[in-house]
Amino acid sequence: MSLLKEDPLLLEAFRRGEPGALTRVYRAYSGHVARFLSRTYVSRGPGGLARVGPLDLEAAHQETFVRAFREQARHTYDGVRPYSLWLNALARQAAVDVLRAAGRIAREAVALDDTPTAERLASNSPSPEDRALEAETRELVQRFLSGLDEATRRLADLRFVQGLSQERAGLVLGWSRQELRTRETKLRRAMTDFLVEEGWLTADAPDALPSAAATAAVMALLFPHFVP
Amino acid sequence: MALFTPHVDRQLVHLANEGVLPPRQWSRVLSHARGCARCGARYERVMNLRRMFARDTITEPTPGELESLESRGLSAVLAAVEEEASRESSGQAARVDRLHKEDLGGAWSLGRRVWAWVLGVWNAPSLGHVGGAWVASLMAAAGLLWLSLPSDTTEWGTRGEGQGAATVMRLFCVPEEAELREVRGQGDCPAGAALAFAAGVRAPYTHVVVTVRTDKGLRVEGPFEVKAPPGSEAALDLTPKLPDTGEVELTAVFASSASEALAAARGESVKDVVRVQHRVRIAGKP
Repeated sequence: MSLLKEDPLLLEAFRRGEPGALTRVYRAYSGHVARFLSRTYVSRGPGGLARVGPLDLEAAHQETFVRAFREQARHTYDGVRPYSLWLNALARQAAVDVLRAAGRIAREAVALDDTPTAERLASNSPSPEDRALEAETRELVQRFLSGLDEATRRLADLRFVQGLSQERAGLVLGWSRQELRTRETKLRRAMTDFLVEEGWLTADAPDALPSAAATAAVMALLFPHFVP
Repeated sequence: MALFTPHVDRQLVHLANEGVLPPRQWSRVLSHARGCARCGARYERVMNLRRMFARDTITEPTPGELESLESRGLSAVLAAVEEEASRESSGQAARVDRLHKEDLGGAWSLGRRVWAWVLGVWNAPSLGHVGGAWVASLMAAAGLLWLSLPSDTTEWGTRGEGQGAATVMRLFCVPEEAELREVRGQGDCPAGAALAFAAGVRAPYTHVVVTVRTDKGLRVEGPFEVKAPPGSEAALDLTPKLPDTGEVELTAVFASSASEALAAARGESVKDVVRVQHRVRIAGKP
């Protein structure tokens, strides 16, 4: 797909910076940029290869489009090359800057674009860190699923993996809406408990509630007539 | 003991279970997590888990992430592009890259970490355990609320409970290692701290733009849509970090549309705007 290549009118409107054209381009390439940022290693430094994780994805994604939509960038794009490749180059640099600004990579980390091509090509496979993280996460998922009974595991598959709506999942499983909701509540509770047990989450942060003494003090301050 | 947790554990539990959060809540969680090592690591793990469920890999975003980026990011991108264009056309020399917000001492990441404290107070879904009345009572008891002043006034002032004022802006100092506190009058805030804002408006006002002037230049932030009324001010997604020395001049411009607020903040003549100013000295211990 190359939206701007195939639609000269859109390209002209895009170059003029018309919001409607920018919106169309954004919507057409948002997913591409997000996927590219998530799977592409963008820098090499003392800590190894770095890519944009979930935490920085939104910042890098927005930064990419802000750069792409600047007047100079809009006019520099020639309308001939695939726009996705043009965005990739901007995304790489935006990602490096976002990761640097967030302190995830050292200031002196080298953008992979600035390294020899052979080294870049050799960096396309997952880094050892990512392989380890992925293995750990996959194992966690497997352990969670293996602890469920058959029906609940099927529900987890439909809702978490396949992303079906409750209604469709209910149809597939032959459950009523109420039954599905009840089972799903149990499933979610089981997952929360599992993640808390594994140390991945904390159900409630400490100090989340004001103490009874603090509450009483404020109530007494506010409503002295009601305090005996 | 802190009265309210600064962290986002409840939202992370929800995210782990649902894979998505309501748009505004997701933005707030991300804002907090990007500046909080504890919650940042947990956010990454939760999203990696969801990615593993949905894609069987941690290097592919979930459908929920993609949808969220497409819907939430567009307005921010268009606003940033418009802002940059207007800045360039108005010939302001101090053209500041968006990323410099973070470079300016990591303002985003630092400020947002602590800013969630404020967000927690106003974020209705997270108030289930505290109670909106509790917060309202606390605010009333402490006399914390501020009234904004008419456009010819140059200082933010203290308000009562928001009755009668059409626009309200509250300012908070967010030190790195200390509790958040409200700044009133010619307030001080230590070097390295961040500022945080909460705003409330009545019709016809709907948007606010905040300009932040430091020795390093001027930044125009916003426009931010303000839906909360005075008395229940909502947090702005804005936490500029203070420089090491000097003074910061803040100007908030309220208007009945985003474009009018932006135009007024740029110095153009716009009718029926409310402009409030405040100075914060960099002083005091963190």
